[in-house]
Amino acid sequence: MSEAYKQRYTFGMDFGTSDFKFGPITSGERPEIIENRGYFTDKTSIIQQISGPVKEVIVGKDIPLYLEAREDLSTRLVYPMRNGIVEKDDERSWAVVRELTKFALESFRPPESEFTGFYLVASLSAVAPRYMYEKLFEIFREINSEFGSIESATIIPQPLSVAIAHKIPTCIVIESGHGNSQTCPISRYPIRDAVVAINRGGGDGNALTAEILKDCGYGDLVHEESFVRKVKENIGLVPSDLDAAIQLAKNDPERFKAVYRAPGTRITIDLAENSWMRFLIGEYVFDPNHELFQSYFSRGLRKPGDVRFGDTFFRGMLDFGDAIVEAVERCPVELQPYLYRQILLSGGNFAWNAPTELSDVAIDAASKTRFLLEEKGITDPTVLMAQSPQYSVWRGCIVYGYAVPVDFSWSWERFEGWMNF
Amino acid sequence: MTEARVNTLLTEFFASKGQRPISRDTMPVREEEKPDLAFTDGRTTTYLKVFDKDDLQNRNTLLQAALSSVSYIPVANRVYLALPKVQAAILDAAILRERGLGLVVYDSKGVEEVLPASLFEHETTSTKTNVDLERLTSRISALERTVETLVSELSKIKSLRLEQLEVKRTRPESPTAFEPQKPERLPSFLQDNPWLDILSKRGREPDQFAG
Repeated sequence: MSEAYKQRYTFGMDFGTSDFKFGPITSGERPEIIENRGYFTDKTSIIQQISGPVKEVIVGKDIPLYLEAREDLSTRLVYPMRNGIVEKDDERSWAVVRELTKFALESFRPPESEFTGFYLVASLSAVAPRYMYEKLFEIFREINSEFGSIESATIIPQPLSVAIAHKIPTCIVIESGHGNSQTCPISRYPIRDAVVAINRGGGDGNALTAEILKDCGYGDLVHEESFVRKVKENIGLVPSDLDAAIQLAKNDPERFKAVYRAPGTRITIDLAENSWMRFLIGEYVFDPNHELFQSYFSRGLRKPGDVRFGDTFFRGMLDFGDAIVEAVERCPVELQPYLYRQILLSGGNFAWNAPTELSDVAIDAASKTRFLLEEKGITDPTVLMAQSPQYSVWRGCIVYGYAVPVDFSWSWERFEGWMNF
Repeated sequence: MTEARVNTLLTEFFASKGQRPISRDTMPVREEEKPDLAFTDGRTTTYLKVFDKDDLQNRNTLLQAALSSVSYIPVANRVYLALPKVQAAILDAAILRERGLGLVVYDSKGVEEVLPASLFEHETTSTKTNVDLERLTSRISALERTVETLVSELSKIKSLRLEQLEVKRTRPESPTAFEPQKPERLPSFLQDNPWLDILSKRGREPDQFAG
């Protein structure tokens, strides 16, 4: 197959923790986005039997049409990549991945007679174990056998995609999603041995926010995580120095007043004299080691623990500064200064408001990361926020597929190349 | 005698023979090859080369005119030279007869046919041309009808497709079709991207540790 063919039919897929982004190179700047989830229909339902046979797994924007007000809804609605990793024997999650892949490819099947399949580039978490690669290739092979829609496929780690999309060949990428975070040094290749994984992500910020809401008398609202997340995003602040910020906020609660009105409802959250707690939320995401958090742990907040998923060890309480330093120090000494010069933050867990009227104490994610590194003796690090973080992984996939030669076959030693079908 | 008067006399003469003038615009020859006057009876065509006194100042001019009138033969069924009566004497009619050309002479009193032109047998060509034109016209009409039908069908298909897309939105059995847009230029993230050079060398460079 020719380079021209491959470049015309390059297809990118980003299996994010919350969203699944997909589309061919012809999509332009933005891919299609659907939620990375699938709904398992109830085949015994009378309604289903009357309306005729339906698929076992529903994906895409049609899911709401199938949702039923049932107590077992949470078990029927499966988010396969919530933590970036799918367990080897989790058949339901793999079934959703298969359906999402098929949906994406068939949505863009070109009409041209010359089309014999896409050059598919899929992106997974940097900590995805080898069996996930094997399983995903197996799914691709099955889909190609059935639909003839994949000429060749490859899988790349998400941090590499982010670096490619941002046109930076040497950098360290920190990807922080819902369930966990990964720091991945890159120097033309992802340096897999230097990846540091953290068992802490946006979900942990939600959990602390829920505890704060309980403390402030809103315990009845914490059962819906999507609502708690909205509260976190609207009132949470990242302090440059937690102790100083709390002191200021306690002395002048009016200035730091945290109020959130849920659109379209009568619900208003007002932390009032406890508005200083809004700084705890942001601090916790970057560094959960302050003594103030101990009281929450003792009262039931799940303390991020050290766990092993697949081959990867996830650290619970490592702050982002230490994670970066540890990842960089696993790389050759000569390379280390270059990595500190380009630190790229990616993922929804880095999207924090920094109101200008509170700029003396509240800062954005890049500034917080810079402060954490300076505390550890790293002088003048350069920290950047990823532009268009929702699309950057998909964009990196497209660049990768466009550029990597067609005759570069997949290597299990290098974890790169094209797997031909 | 003015040119207009000469043309009027010749037109009246050929009209008396059942021939009507042909508009210059409809003559199937290049502009420089068009005759001074042309007539048709509906089936055959007659082309005329008209001379006035000035044209006959010397024999070379006459010869040139006679030769140019010969060039009408492949197109017209009859070809005439039209000369002032007083000048006709200098012309050898035998040469014209040999070529099949006719000769008419005129003066202020009228027009007289001195030598009838031969009938060149390409009525069939003309007829064939007309028949071909009719066939072409007929085929163009048929094509126009076909195009109209296709436009109508395409319109129906488009509306059906929209309906099907609507159905797909509510029936997840088949995924919604996203229409990929052909990019007019490369997306911004592909432009000036140093990774293009790095990645295009994959598999062509010494092994490096990917970690």
